[in-house]
Amino acid sequence: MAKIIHHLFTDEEKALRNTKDRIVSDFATLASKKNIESISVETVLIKAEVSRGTFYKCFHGLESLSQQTAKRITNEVFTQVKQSVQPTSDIAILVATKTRLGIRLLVGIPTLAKIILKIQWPSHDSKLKILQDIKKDVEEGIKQGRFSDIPSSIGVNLIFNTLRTVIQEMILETYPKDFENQAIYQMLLGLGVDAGSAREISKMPLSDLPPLPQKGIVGKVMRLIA
Amino acid sequence: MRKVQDHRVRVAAERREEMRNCLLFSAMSLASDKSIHDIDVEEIIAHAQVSRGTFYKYYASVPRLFEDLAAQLSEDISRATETVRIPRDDKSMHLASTARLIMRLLVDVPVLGKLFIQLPWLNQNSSLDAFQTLRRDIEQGIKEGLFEKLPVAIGLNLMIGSMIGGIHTMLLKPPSKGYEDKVVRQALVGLGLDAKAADKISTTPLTNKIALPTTGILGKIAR
Repeated sequence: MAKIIHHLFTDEEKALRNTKDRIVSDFATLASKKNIESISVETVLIKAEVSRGTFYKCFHGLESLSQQTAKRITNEVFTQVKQSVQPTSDIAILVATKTRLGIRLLVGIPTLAKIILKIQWPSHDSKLKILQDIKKDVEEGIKQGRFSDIPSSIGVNLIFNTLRTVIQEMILETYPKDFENQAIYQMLLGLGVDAGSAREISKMPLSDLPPLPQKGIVGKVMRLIA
Repeated sequence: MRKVQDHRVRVAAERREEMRNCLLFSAMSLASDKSIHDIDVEEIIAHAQVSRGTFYKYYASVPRLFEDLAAQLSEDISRATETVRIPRDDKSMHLASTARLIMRLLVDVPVLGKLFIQLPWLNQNSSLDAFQTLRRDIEQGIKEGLFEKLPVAIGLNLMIGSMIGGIHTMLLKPPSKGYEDKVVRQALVGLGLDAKAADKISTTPLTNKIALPTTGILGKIAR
């Protein structure tokens, strides 16, 4: 027989989840207005109107809060990029396009990029949809012989690391216009694509940037900085 | 006449160094079990068996402690790496061998490895000693035409990123033998080396290992 759970318990869990969501969204709001490093627990408490006790019930501390916020935003942006990519039979083109769109989208909005860069890396977090997707692409590329025959974790790391570091370098300093192309070219070489087609793919014109999601945390941040 | 030095100054300096090492060691030990962001002052002072006051005399906060730890370890490791003799004339070979040796060391000593992959290396922090040799090799390699003409930042990120990702995977569960060689091979190919040369360079047997020094904080691990 199924165990009977008192509705009060499930309600409490739901309430906690709601509070968690609210704190995450308020944290994103704060992070879009001021330097993410300078946000203190007190500021979050005031903004979200929760007690210190509640806050620590939801998160270990500021670091885990910014981690979770970063993950949520990454998932939202990733879903959007994935939907807007044209299907193609060449897996190398697919990987390069997704990575480049991701870079451009985030470099264009440093506020979002700075939050996303808080993500702990390296990670095998199953909650990060983007890692699962990259893994699928790498495995497909290896199967097709487009990439070198390597353990897929090496490929995943190459791609995710390129995405992350290029965004980081580009929002910190001004880089030459072809910095992104160059990094993508080197990434494709590393995956085992031949130099000729890597050069060509890294310079392929991109379609328009996908619109950012209107809903969710990203939507909220965008309305704030608009 | 030689100036007479008060022995108390010397003894105090030694004691301070000892205490600093003690705090650094506690931080490192704790970091092998949990995320460095979840470690608080209480745990560190309990592990090091010192008072809160002592802790704050040395460090303003836990993140400052980890910054100091990162700098110290990176200095020690790069010094330990220099004791291994690697032929210097071929830049790509030197780069690959250094990278492989460091990866092996960090996987062999998980306490070190687990800490290293958590540090924010790529956040303006790449001035750390341990990666200066890698940077020099990449710069030289680009100049000599061994690698593609690319911004050094891209090359360095490619190599260090591959290494850290590789160490992470290897610590999670032991992968196939020679995994670190494959990681370095792909990074070399990414830098623009042709596949054949990369194969050869990344699989050249390494006779020595990096030996941990017996003093300082690394010495504490060995014991």
